[in-house]
Amino acid sequence: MKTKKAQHEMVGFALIIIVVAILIIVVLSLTHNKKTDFEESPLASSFLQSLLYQTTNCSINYGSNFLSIRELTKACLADEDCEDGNSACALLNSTIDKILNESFQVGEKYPLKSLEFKITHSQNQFLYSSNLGNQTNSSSSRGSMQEFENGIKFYLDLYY
Amino acid sequence: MKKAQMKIQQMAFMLIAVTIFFVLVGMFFLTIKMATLKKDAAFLKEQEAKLLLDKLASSPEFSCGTSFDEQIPNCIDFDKVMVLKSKISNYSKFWGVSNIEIIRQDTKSTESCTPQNYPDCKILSLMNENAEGISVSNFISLCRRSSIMQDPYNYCEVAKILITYNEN
Repeated sequence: MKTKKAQHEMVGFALIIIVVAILIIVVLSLTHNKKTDFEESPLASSFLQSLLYQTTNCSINYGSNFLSIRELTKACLADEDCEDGNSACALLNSTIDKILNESFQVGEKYPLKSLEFKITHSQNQFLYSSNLGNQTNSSSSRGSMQEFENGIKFYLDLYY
Repeated sequence: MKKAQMKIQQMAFMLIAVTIFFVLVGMFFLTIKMATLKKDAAFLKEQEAKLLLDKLASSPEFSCGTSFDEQIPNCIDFDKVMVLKSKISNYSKFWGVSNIEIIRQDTKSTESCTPQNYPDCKILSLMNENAEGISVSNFISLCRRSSIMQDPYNYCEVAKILITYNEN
């Protein structure tokens, strides 16, 4: 009789543990799903907005009318060359590389562990793509996307 | 020991075990919550910087307006800010901040901006360079009129704005 009662109590305790374990799993799966959602970053958004208007060294037939990154991207898509003979795409790559390196401190000793920058157009083809740092050390990410004419999209993801 | 005492002891042990179990579960959730709290704090700081920047960038003393052919978001007129620096004593309490610093990214110079070295300089500090307090930063478009062979053109670049303020 005594053993049966003790068994009942143990079953009750086990039931409590099982119910709480199920609750933990449900809450964990919900928070995990939340993490995979895209989170907008005001910093990335401001950077992309400013970058689109950055003046480059490229002019096409207009003397001192230098193209902005936005215009240079369109020139790259049209496979045009700058007046100095450089291809628009080569200048786009070197200009963005330089600005990214100057604007962000990326690495294990900094809060920003890595960043991913890419420019795509309507056919989802890459016009530019760059990764700085190591994403595996990051615990969270936020980013931004800017879209303008011809389906050109600028993406910047920051991994902290 | 009597049967009733035995029962009470059994119940007490059971209550202690259940309490410890729930405390451990609570601590587990608290750790998860604290991790997201840090993330939320970083996000709020970014948003705060953006709001403060929007307020400053849209004020006529900084804003590019339509001076550069088109409306550029978060645009600061470098020429205007240089002039503002010489009259900053009139604006010491106007924005409620201790210092506003504009840091150019696309330059090899490390010098502070003065009328003599402008625009070949790195940092334009508007108020007190050594101001202490909370600092927030964000990216802006920094635009100015430039010229090549006496042919004027608009030059915009990515720059950082650093705003320092006191909580009180």
